Amino acid sequence: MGSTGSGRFSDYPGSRPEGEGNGTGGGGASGEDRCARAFSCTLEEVELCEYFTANGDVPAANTALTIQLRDRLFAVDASEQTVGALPTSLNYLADCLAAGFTYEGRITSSTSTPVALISVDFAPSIP
Amino acid sequence: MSPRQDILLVGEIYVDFTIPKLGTESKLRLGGVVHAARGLWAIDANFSVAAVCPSYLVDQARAYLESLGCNEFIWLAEVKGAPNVIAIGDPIELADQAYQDILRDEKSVEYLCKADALKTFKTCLIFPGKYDITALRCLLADDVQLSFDIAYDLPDLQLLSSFKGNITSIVTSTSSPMFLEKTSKNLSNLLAKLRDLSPQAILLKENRGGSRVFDLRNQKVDEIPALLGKTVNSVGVGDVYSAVFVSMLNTGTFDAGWKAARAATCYAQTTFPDDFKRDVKRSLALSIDQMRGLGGTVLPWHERPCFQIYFAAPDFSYVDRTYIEKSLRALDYHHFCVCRPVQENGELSRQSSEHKMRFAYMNDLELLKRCDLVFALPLERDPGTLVEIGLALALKKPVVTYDPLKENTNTMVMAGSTVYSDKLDTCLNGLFGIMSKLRAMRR
Repeated sequence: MGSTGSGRFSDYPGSRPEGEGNGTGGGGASGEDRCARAFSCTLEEVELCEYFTANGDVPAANTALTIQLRDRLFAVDASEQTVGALPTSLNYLADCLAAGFTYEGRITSSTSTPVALISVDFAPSIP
Repeated sequence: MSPRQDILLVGEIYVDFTIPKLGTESKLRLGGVVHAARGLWAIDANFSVAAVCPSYLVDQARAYLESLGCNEFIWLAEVKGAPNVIAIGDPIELADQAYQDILRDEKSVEYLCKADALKTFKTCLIFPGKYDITALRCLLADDVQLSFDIAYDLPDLQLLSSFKGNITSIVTSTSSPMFLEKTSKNLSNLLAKLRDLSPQAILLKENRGGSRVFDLRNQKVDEIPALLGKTVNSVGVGDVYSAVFVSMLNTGTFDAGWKAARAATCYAQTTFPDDFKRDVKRSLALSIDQMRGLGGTVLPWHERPCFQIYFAAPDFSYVDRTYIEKSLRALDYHHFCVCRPVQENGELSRQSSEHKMRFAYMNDLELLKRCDLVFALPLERDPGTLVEIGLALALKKPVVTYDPLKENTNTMVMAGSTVYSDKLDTCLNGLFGIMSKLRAMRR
C-alpha cells in the first residue's frame, strides 16, 4: 500500500519505496499499472450482439478478438462485429483504451446452447 | 487585495490510521482535508489549505501539502487536547467504518489566523469539523463563493444560515448522520431544508449506489453511476469527490459530477498517490458522453428497500454467527430490505413435529417467491441454505452467494449464482449490480 507502516508518512508523490517493515515502505507509486494487466472474462449479452444475430451461433474457440468502446466496451472480431459486452466491472479499460493501450484476445471456450457463453483471455499492448 | 484564482480548502487535518488485521497491514496517511487536496492535485487544480490541526502536525502537514503543489498553507486553528488521530476499523466500508476519533471528548479548538488571511479567496470548500464554523464568516470575503461538504460534523443546518447568499453548492452523503436523520422515507425534507440555503447545486453521494446531482437553477437531476471494482480503501473518497466537483463546477454542474465521480473511483482503488493521479488523468480523458455510455451501477438510497432480499443462511441462534452478523450489518448499512425466513417464520427446535416443519417450509417458500433476489451464506454446507439456493435458481431469481469459508466450491453453487465469492466486498458489489439492473428493467 502507498501508506504502509506507522513510523512516518511515506506516501509523498514521486517518492520511492524504501523497503519493508514498520515506518518504511509505501512510496508514491506501486510500480503496477492495471491497464498493463492481462485478464480473463466471460462476455455478456452475447445473444444480442452482431455476431450471434448474424450467425445464430458463437465464434469458435481460438477466434481472435479485440476490445472497442461503443458506448459500452465490446469484444469484436476481425470483421469488427461485436461478439459480446465486457462486464461493467472492467469499465476502467475504457480509460486504458483512451490512453493508447490495446487488447488482443482469444476465445478460450464458447457454447451456444442452452445459452450463449463465451470466455476470453485478453492481453494488453502497451503504448 | 486582488482576488485569487485558487480554491481554498478549509477543514481539519487528521492522521488516518487503519488498524492492522490478520493478513492486512496497517496504513498511515494524512487525512481530513488532505484527502480533498490529493484530489485537486490529481487534476492539477490550483489550491490552498486553511487547516485546523494540532501543533505537532503543522510542519508535516505543510510539507506534505507542499509536495502536492499547495499554494499556501494557513494554520487556521489549533486543536488542543486530542491528537486528531482517527483509528479506522473497516477501510473498505462493508458496513459502518467504525471510525474512532481518539480523545475526541477532550478536544478543543482555538482560532489562530489573522483576520484578513482568508479574505482574498474567491472560491472555498469547507469541511465542517469540531471548530466553530460560524466564526469563519467574518474571516471570508463578502463575495466569496462557498461550498460545504456537510456529510460529517454539522449537527444543525442552521449553522450555515449566516453564509446564505454565498453558497454555490452543498455536498452530502448517505453515510451522513444528518442524512439518516432527515430522510427516513424520502429526500424531500432534507432537500427543502438545503434549498432554504439557496445553493445552486446539491450533490448527494450514495456510496456503491452512485450519486445524484441536483441543479437547482433549472430543477434538473442527473444520476451518476458508481463504477464498482475492487475497493482498496474508501477512506477519503467522498472528500476527493467533493473537492473535484467543486473545482469543476465552472465546466457545468452535471459534468462536474461525472468527472468528480471518476476521480473518486480512482481514489478508492489505490493508496499510491502517483497511481491515483495517473488513473485520474486517464479517466478524465474520456468525454462525458463516453462516460454516460459506459453506464455503471445506479441504486438510489430510497429505492433499495423496494428490492426484497431473501437471506438464505443457517440464521439460527445456536450456530457461530460471526459471518451471519457481519453480513447482516453490511446489508443493513446499505439500506437493503432483508427478509430473514428464520426470523419471520420462526426457528424450529430439533424435536419439532413433521407438521411444524412442513408449515415452516411452506412459509419460507412463499417468502422466497415474494423476494426479488437471494443473498446466500451457506455456512457449514447447511443443507437448508443449499436447497434454498436451488429453489431460487429454479424460480430464476438472481443469487449472490457469499461463501467465506469456501466450503461450497461446487459447480451448481458457483455456476448457478450470479455472483459467488468468499469476499463480502465482491458480494455487496454483486447485490448492487443486480438491483441496479432490476431497477433499469422496471423503469
